[in-house]
Amino acid sequence: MPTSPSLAEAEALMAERCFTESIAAFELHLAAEPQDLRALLKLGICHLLNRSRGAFLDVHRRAEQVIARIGTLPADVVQLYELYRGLIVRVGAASLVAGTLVLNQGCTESKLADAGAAAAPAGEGADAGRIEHRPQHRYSGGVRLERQAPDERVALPPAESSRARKRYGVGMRLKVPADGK
Amino acid sequence: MTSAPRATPCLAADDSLRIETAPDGEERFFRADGSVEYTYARPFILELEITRRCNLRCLHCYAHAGSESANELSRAEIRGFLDQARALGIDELSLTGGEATLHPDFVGIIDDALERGFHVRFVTNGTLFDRPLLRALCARPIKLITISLDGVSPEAHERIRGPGSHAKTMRAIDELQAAGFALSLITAFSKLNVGELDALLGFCVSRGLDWQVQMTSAKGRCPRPVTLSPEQYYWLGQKVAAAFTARLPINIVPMDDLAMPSLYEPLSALWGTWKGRCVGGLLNLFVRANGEVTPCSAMAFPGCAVGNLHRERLADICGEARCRKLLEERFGKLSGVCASCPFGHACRGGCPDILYSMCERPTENEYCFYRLEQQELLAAACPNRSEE
Repeated sequence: MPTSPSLAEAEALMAERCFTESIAAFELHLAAEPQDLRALLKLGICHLLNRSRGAFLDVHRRAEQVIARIGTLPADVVQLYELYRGLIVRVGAASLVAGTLVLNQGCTESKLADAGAAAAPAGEGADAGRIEHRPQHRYSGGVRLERQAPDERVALPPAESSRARKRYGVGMRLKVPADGK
Repeated sequence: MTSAPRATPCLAADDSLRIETAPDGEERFFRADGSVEYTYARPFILELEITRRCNLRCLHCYAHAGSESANELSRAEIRGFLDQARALGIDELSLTGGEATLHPDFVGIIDDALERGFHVRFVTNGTLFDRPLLRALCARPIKLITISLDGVSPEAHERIRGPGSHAKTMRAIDELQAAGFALSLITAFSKLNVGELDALLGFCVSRGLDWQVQMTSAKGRCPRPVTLSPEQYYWLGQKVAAAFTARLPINIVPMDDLAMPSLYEPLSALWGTWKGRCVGGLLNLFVRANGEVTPCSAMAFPGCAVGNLHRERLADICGEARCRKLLEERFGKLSGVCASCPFGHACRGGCPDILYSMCERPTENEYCFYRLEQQELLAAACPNRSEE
């Protein structure tokens, strides 16, 4: 439950998809209550929704520091924290934060590795090499283009990209029946 | 005994292009070597629907092809039109239909185009290839032949394209590939064939065929109920993205309807193929069999013709950048969730075909990957507050 006017406002703005304003309100609240893990995690999710992947990961680091300080993960935050951890995998950044995730209950490096392996196509090792897109994409009505300057706020760094992209189906939650009906 | 015919190699350069972002943020498109800039006055490729006639009555046909449309361009008119296109500098040509091979002057039109210096490709359902046509094509340097295949299983393919079509199409694939043509497949996914996705990918990989993938949208003959829901479309996107980013020995070619923003791997790779705007009229320009010019073959809905070659010159239609004006006027504004979306300025609502054919308003894209992700995430993070 919101405990301060700025937190209530932050959450309302988040639900209304005003992410920039929500981020500012969350920060205001956190300046007064820096140990509020729930607010911190929601701030990170706001950053992700606002296309700021770097800020999303920074918030994770801040959350880890708070957890280390308080010694345990509060029960009412476990679900949100699990969601956050899942997001880190889904955005393809697990390798960046694996070292800190091992500090926390129920999450170990090997579990993360297992998750990656389960999602990878058969026969592909952890370092199967980099992805190459051949230049001559021909199709019936013209060409396919590779953007030369991918959006910096969502693009992955090359090494991480190689790891993430070789996974086959990370985050496939939505299903349709095999017959498509 | 006669030997099997062999395709004449097409020595044209591949289609690689270069994109640069101008200081004003506009994307600019060039031939890979920088020698040509593609603009609305000089698009990259001309897609020419040489007939609306078709021997099939596919359930999902965007063109509602079947019988000949009124006022179809004659071969003489097509010649004159090819001259106009060459005068603008266009040298890539794609022939489509209906079923292009049904045109009585199909090979003659190819000759007209080759004589004028075009690199010629065409799209076909593959059901009408006989020995004489195969021999005629082998004698000409065809850049690419694209065959529509909607399922590896006859049931799935014929559920859409009709009885008896599958075996003929598969035979054409065999024969054209054996002859050495550059060949690719194209699949439009709907509820009728989305279950074939893995089998189609496997087939393309095993045969070394590039694969062009898109979603069927509700226009032409296609009824809305057979099209994918936003959630099914998301699933399709994930599958295509996984194949696109895997190190496969073929090119997976997702069309622009799949180039949606996403927060997650592997879907975000498809967002990387978005070119900053719809490039209809800029990279590809479509001419219907009745002479109407539209920015793209997918824009087969009312009010999207920017001119008619029976009455106007191509130089005027292109020179006035009418396609750009049309796209900006009809699809440039965003509303609802899209209006406040952090991707909005970059995606501009995405593919106009999806906006127009599949969404309630052409200003808000209900099929956006990010939109679904945002919805899911807000529901999880703010369970008591999230809307929609």
